[in-house]
Amino acid sequence: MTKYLIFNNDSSTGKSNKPGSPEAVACDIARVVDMDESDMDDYIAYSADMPEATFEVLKRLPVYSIELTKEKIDSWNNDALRIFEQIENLKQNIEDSRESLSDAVQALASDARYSELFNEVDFESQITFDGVFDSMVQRSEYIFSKTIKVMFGIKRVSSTEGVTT
Amino acid sequence: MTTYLITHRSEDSQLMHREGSAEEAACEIANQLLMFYGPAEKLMAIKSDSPLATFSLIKDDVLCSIDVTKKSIETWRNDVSSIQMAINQFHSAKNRAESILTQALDDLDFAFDSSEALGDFVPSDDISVYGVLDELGLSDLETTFRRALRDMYKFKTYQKSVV
Repeated sequence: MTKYLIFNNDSSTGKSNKPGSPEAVACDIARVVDMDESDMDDYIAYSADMPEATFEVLKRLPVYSIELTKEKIDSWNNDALRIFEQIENLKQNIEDSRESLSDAVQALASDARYSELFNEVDFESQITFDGVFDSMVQRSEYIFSKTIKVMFGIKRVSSTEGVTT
Repeated sequence: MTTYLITHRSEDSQLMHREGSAEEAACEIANQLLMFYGPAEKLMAIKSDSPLATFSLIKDDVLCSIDVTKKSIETWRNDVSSIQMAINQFHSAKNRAESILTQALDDLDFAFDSSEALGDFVPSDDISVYGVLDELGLSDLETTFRRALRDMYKFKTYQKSVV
């Protein structure tokens, strides 16, 4: 089992983990746990027993630490990524549904504007889109993030701004 | 303005409303507002000041009454049908979304289920497609639509009197 420390990465330094490496997997896991749209190179991971890790820790605290085995990495590649793909698929479908429903309500509002009887009726304001679909996206991301957190035992060491209390 | 009483058309009735007539429009409007499960042809419109209207009232046959004018019938034919069609299209979009999202959620459940390590999680236990789409407010939209129609056509339902 190898422990990895995951740091915020300044992309201007040109440093990045090799795609497919355990370090890159560690960063991918951290990005899923974060649940935001961060880029691949926003994090950089080092094996805790490497001099680079010690050097980085002298400058700042890592954001996460994680212990990975070959089995865990296989599980990430085989199971978690497939689930991630399905979550992305669900998110895309939610977005498409939001768009088509929004088009339909706009068409209705446009017909209503030219109608003698309905020109003062505000159909658009009666339909609530954002909260409804956003909660679905957030729920699916939260489930995945929580699952990955438990499964891989990733630990937050400090917040991106400073040390967590 | 003419007030029509709307009744069920009896199965053996030979009286059919003329195509394009005010009576035919009155039945279509009543059909929409009564949320009648069947074609408007199953209804009959009777002018409220006719002897047949009095007879229907005595027989307790009247479902509702509506007021129409030449202009309000034109509005029904030109305006309302396009709004109704737009609402139906919104319904179709909602049904499509329901089907697409249910499939995507089933696929996600399956991906979790096929994983050895993550198999215990069932996302659909936490996410409800139907619950989410019900929150959109489609029923408010239809209520508004019906309210506007009810006001315009002075729609009034008749309760069966209890003897």
